[in-house]
Amino acid sequence: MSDEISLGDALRAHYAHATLRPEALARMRVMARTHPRARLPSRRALWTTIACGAIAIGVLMTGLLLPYVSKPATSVLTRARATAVLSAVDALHCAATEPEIRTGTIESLAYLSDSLGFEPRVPLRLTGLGHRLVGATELSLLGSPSLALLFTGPDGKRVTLVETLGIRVPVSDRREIFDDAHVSLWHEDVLLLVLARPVR
Amino acid sequence: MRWRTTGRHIDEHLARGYRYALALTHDAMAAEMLVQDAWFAALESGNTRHLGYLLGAIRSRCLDLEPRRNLVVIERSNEDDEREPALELDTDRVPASGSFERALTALRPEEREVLYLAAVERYSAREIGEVQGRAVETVLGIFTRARRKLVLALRHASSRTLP
Repeated sequence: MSDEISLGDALRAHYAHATLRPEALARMRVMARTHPRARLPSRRALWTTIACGAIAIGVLMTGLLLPYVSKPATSVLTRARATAVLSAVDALHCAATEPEIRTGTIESLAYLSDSLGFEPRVPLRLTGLGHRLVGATELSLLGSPSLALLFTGPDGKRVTLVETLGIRVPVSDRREIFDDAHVSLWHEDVLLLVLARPVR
Repeated sequence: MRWRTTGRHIDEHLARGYRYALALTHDAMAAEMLVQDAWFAALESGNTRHLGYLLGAIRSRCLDLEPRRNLVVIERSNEDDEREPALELDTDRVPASGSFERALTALRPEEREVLYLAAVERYSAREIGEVQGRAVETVLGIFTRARRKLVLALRHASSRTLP
């Protein structure tokens, strides 16, 4: 007969129509929303969240640390070191103190090589430009033995050159302009040379 | 961060809980009160995401009227086990226009429960036996008797309404 259905379908259809009254359903929703325990995560959900958070933090930290691990020479520390060297030489140049050793030739400073650990030199950048050596002062730059050479340029202005051993900076050539001086640094062999000259 | 049960999840659990309570009580108001009590218990215990807990709490509260057992959490462990005794409901044909409401009144609560769990929740005889604390053979006996009573009641009601 066409108007007969299976008992299973009839039962399912009967109970499918059974629903809570809307006001009762709303009341139970409010209970779920306001009950303090309903806001707590299940233990499994809590651990899942903790695990996901730990993984996310791990990935983030790896991403942040990777540049330091892979390229330590360009890290913030060594860049800061180069900046510190430039600033120190700028301060020395601006102080305009008289040299401890007055001499006109670089050869006369050769005796300082024992205490410095290197032989003082006039770099190629200054030769032939009309600079005249006035004197030198032994000092310590960032804890490394150094020698500050005082020159006068063709225009009669002071030029300070600091030669030091044991400081390596990440850049082969770097310059910075301060208020009164143009300071640049570069490496020659094992030496770090820092030149401060007046801003024109 | 706040953790909340989603609205859809709440509605689905409450709807299924209500139908189960209705199968047990065959009384809409009593079923609503049962669901509310059981829902509060689920909230108190933090088990709102666990439908088996809600159904177990409903059954426990229904039977508390005649205290015999404690809460039994209804769990489904193996839904596709082919060795389960079949609870066949689709071989019997009943009139589509039969009054189910009246026909179900003729059944005892445990008979309505067995039919509901088999037809709507699609539980096996073993699973219903675990819920009711009965042997599988007993469940099969209740199921056969309930099915026969319901079919007869529906056909009887249909014959009385025929012109």
